[in-house]
Amino acid sequence: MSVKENISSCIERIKRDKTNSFIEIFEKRALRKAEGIDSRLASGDRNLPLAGEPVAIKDNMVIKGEAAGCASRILEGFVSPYDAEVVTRLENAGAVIVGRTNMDEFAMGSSTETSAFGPTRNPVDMERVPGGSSGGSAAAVASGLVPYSLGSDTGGSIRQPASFCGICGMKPTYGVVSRYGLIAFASSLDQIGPFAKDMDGIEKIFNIIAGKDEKDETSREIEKLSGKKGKLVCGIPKEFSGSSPEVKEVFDKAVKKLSRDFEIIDVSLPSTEYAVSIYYIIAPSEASSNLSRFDGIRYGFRAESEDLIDGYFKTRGQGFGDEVKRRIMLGAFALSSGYYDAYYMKALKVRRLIKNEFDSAFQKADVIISPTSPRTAFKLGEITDPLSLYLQDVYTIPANMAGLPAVSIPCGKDPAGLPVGFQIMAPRARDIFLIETAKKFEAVFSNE
Amino acid sequence: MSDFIVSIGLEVHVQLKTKTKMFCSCAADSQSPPNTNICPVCTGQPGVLPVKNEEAVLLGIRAGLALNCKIEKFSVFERKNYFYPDLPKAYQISQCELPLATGGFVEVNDRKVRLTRAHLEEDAGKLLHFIGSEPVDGSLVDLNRCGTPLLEIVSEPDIDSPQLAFDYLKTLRRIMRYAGVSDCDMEEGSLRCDCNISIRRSEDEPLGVKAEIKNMNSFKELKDASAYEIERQKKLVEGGGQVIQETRLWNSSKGKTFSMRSKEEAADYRYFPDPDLKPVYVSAGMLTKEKEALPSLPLEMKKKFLSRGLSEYQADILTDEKVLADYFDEVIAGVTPDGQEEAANIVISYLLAEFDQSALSLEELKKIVPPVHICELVKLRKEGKINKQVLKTIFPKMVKDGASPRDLAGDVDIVSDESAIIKLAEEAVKANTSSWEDYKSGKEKASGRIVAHVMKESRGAADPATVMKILKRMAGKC
Repeated sequence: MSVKENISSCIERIKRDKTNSFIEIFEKRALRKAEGIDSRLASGDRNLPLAGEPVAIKDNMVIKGEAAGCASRILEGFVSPYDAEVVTRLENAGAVIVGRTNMDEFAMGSSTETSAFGPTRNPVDMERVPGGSSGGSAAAVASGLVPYSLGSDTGGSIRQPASFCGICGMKPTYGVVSRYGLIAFASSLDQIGPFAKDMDGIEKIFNIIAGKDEKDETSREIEKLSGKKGKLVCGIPKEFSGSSPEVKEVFDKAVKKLSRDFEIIDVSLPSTEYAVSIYYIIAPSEASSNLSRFDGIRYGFRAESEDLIDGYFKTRGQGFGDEVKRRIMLGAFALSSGYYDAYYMKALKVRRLIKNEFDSAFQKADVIISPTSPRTAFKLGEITDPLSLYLQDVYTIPANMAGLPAVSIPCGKDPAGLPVGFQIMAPRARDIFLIETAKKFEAVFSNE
Repeated sequence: MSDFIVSIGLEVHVQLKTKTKMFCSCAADSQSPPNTNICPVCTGQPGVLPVKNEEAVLLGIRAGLALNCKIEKFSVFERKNYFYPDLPKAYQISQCELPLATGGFVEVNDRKVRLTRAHLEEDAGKLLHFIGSEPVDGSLVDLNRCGTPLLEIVSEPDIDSPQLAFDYLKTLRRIMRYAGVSDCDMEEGSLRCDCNISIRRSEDEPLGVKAEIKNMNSFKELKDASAYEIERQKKLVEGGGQVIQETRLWNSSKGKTFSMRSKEEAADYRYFPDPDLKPVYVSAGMLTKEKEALPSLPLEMKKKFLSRGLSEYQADILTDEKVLADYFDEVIAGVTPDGQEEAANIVISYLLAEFDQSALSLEELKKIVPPVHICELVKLRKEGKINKQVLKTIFPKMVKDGASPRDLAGDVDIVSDESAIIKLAEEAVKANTSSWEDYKSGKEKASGRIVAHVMKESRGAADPATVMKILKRMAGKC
């Protein structure tokens, strides 16, 4: 089968999708690119590790000549004048980007319910959310629409939906994947990463997108060295104890299976208790600044207005959804004169503590393990209180705070048949080691 | 009125002379047609990231060194958040808590104006207003300037008069131009200045409440605006009022400052470290490189010239521009100590006069009239081979075709030989008999016509003083 035929059948599958995973299919572009790959293959080009592989990207990564919108009304009509670095790398490797996937507006949410394009449903159970904010990318892979997709993870936004949908998702070390062309939410936390059904798929995509990019000052190389010799030590943070009984049972069983081949120890990360609190200072603060450029002047939605100031109020008032506005206000307050030291500065200090605690935990353990989420996928509309929703990310946010690489892999199902995700965190820049370890664990879990 | 102490502090923005912008690779050229030097980064497209321009950091370091600042090993870019159509990201990347350079001073006349800091930042774009016109009724934005690198130099409130403010800015400009850091052209906007002014009754009192004055577009406007503002504050206080903290705009056509916004209306910029940028680390290597790149500065050159016997006036003129100072420095290296004042005279009265009339730049002029030609002129003068008249005649020729003065002096056939002048004088007397009679009978002024005749016949080569001497002798007056 030619790449073009393969891509066109992929597009047909997506068109029949009932989960609302995609905001837009790049049909013309994808078919054109597929033809290009076909002719390159025909001419004997062997330098295409992802030749013809369909990949979906989250709606916060840009492609030249295509719309990108962070599932927000404020970017209505915006067409990107340039390519994100991940797009360039994927396409250079022969991948075909088939469309942009649904998400929580500006990646602010844990359920993909804040999208201006309606919620995405979980293919495991259509009454339930796929998690978020990269819910569309997770659901697209889980329902077999595409083999791979990209998400972004600022506070668990790849790992939690991977967990809810029963697939693998990876948040690389902060800086390992270029953020150039990722529409920023919280710059010091945002990280692009892959979704796939298994760790082989994760590895395949990761190898293409990882590595230093001159256009992103915060980007970095990964450490190529892999694991150590001898028995691998897994640390379980004793503070990560708020799971639902169902999640706890599945996780404990999984740990028991691991304990046959690996050493399991307790570690302590006392300051992670504050991780969610400081996340809701740092992330909104950065977001309040990052999202200021959406003012209706150069691109995107512009409301009818009387004058300049009225235009700012109306454009932003109508263009952003409630959750986004809530976080912009939180952030603007935390950064304002007189409060900066008490909130933002203090949050940065706690962040430093969390980093240090991870560093010492990694003196004892090679990886740190936990459930990905304290609970399994909840029903659409089930959690409406923002605070309760924020607490869904209690296990995932610490890795963002410390900039660590982390994956979520499936480790079993609860009695209702809902998948439970298993989180593995590794020291900074040890992404290769993390992938190797996750593959071993994956083998253990799938052996049963 | 005189019992007020005036305190002025200046915030000066100089545009650094880099090839590209501060955080992207667009040309740092704001004079091109609107929106031709722009890219996704400097227009603030969604998803873009800034990358520091190393050249701007190096120029910032050099500027800091030229201003006697401490260069900080570690400084941080922060975001200054505010909404305005010429600011595409709705934040300006600047330095707040940890600037590139701290302390420092500028020597102005015999005073030292201390500096608080110097920090790097990016410029905003420009709005072009077409309100009520066709085909565009409204404002357009030109983002060419957006993202060009600036160094903001903040002084302490050490300046106590509008004149000193004027002199400080002139001196600062001169230093920045010498250091090759900026063109500092106020008309083109590569030098901009805001000024903070307060008054108080005595040294024992703390500084008074300050007003910030913006929108001064020339050195003279800085002087006029601060003079106006000082008078405004004095009158206000003497009338029992109080100065309030506010930003005021200078209106040059009205010659007044007007309130723009009060402290209460001032924006809260919500500064925080830019998470997209790594801190600036200044290595020992970078410091050494810039110390080496730093040329002799104006004050140093002026002191050197003064030590060679030049007057204050001459030394000031000759150090105004680096290329001129360098030029003169080469000249004095080639003349004897007793010829240096003459050399200064020639450069100021002839070379600069030619320069003022010419379309050439000083650099271009230097290629035509190399310093060694000035040295030759000085030598010819000292040897008495040419006089002022000859100098005047041959200098334009030197400028015209780059000929050496020695060759030109040969052409002119210098009349240093008295017998030739006597011959010319006798002819002149014959041609102007009535004037000659008048002169002999005591009308001193009548000699003018005869001298002029000699000068004309000698094609300016004769020395008028010598001609007079000869005429006096012929008339039996000595």
